[in-house]
Amino acid sequence: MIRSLRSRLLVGVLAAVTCLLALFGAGVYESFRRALTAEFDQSLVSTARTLAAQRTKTQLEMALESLPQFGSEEDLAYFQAWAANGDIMRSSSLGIGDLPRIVPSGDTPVLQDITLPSGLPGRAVAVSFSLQTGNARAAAGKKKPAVRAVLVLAQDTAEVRERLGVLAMLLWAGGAATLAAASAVMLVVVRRGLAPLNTIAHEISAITSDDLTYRISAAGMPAEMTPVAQKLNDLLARLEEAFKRERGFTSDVAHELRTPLAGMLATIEVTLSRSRTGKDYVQAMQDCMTIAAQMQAMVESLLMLARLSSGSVALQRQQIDLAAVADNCWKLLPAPAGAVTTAFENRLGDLRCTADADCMSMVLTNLFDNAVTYNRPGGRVWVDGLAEDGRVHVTVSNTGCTLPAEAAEQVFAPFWRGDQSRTMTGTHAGLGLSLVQRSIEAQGGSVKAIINEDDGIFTIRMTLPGVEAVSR
Amino acid sequence: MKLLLIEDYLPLQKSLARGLREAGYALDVTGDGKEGLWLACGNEYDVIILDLMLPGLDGLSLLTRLRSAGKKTHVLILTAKDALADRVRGLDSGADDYLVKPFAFDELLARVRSLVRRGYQEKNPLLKIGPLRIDTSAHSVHCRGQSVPLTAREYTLLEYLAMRAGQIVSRSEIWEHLYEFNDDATSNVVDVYVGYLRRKLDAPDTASLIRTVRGAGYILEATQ
Repeated sequence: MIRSLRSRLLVGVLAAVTCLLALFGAGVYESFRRALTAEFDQSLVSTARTLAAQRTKTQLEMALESLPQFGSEEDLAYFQAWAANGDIMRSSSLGIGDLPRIVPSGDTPVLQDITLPSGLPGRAVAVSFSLQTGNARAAAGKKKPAVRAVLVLAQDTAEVRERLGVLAMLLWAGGAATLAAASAVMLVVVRRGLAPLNTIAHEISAITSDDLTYRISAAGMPAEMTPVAQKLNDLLARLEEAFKRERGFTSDVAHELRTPLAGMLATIEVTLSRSRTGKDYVQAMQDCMTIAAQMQAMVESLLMLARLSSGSVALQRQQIDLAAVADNCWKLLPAPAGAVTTAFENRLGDLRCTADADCMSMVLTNLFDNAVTYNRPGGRVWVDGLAEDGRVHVTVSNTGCTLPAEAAEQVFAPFWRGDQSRTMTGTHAGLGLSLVQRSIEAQGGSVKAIINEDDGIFTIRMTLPGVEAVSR
Repeated sequence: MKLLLIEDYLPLQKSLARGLREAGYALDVTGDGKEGLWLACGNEYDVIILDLMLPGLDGLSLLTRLRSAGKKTHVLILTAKDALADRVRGLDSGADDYLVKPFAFDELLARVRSLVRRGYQEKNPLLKIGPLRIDTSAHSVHCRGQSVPLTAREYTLLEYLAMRAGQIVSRSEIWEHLYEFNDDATSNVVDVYVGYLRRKLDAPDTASLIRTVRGAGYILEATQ
């Protein structure tokens, strides 16, 4: 397989040109050969007819004498005549050799390729004719019986072969020259024609991941290349977007890890700056441990996010009792700081869905945690759901939301926090809703945030498709 | 010297507050942007240490509002945002210095000291007033060639008087610069500490280095 497009084009076109040239040459050669052979045959046949028109042997001999080529050894023309009763006449040049005795069936002359007694290829014509025996004068007045005889004339085709040879040589030479010229022209044309490919390759090679803002200019590009350039530009745009998001995320992660790291370093440095009591050291260690635990939780969340995004989390889908899972998650929720109590209402009934139990627990725990943390004192949290067209819709709502309605678009972005959400405890890294979104999406579902500004109600609506839902 | 620390991440806030107080600074602390702005506008701080991502009001808006209110307090931004654009934006919003988290606490102290000096048009960390030699970076004091051990409060008071050497400093100014918002100390405590300093610094039978200006306050002067 030829890898280069240019070579492939060249080889293809040249092969086609060679075939066409060969066909053309063969055609020309064949038609010339036919014409020359026909001309040769015609002269041979007309000679044979003239000879066959002779009545007597004497006349025949005289006629033959007027055709000197049949007597000479150089002209390589031969004749031989047979009467019904045997060989009657032959050209001296034949020597002891014989021409083949071709007997035509009628009056039509028969032509045939033969090998001459000299061993060279030749052409023979046979005519049958009637020959009166005896002397013509003696036969005058009396009707002498005529004998059927066969005359075979043969001639070397050297001249024809020679001329065809010259023609063949001319055709070969012409063909080779044409091919050479065509190759040269093709080389230039193909190189010129494929130049835009080189241009685009050059442009692409200049693009690095550091600068994805570059776009390939489609101006002056041939029509076939324009869609390629367009598609490449689209790809670049998507890549740029992805890289930007990736970089933004990485810088967010670095940023989010820096603050607790700074806290830990400051705690250690300040503690070590002078000698302290054992109690102080214990306190510093405990502070560092709290910070480390927060960082660990954040790193775990990030890992989970990455695994969910890359699809490397093995989800075991099974039928789960949503209400039981929700109750369990609520019970296991860590008690909120202070004595703030939030009322919980589970309206799921006996709604079931097919999902990964661990995943759904994680989702509901995260949602409940948010719902309690960003609630008002004495607020409510409720979970509702319904099955519809083989889909299960589950909503988790809470009171006390102070976010503007347009924040609903942003809440799922990693590290996004509502202004008031950045509490001084620093326990919420802003990854909970991202995790919820990726988890639900990993199970083929979708998730949406709805903010009711008037009532201060924040709702997360999850839709899980393709689950075998039992009606409520 | 009095600082305002505006930082919402509690563990960091706690450690920084402890470290800065141990370094002898009077310190007001808050984790909320709005409260921070209110404190910054209503008090005379030597340096404000400001985090950028804050609840209530973000650091840059706080800074912009502080500057448009005409406050010239030196501001040191303390943030995890290290991108060039962030640093430029921070400084262009009116910050005097920028420190990226995580940082070495000693560097923070050095930068705060530098900002404090700038606040008093002083470039030299070694202050010389008469027989006094105050090394503001080591917090050590020599008087007539003798090392004088001072408590953190005493040192802070002396440093403040030295920074404003030759000027009359009122009791309330001293109180403002040396005591925290939540301190329940009365202005009488200033007189008590001036008394302590005089006892440690003054040679017997000579006029005090720290002179009382009746009805106005105190003055530390080189010409004795």
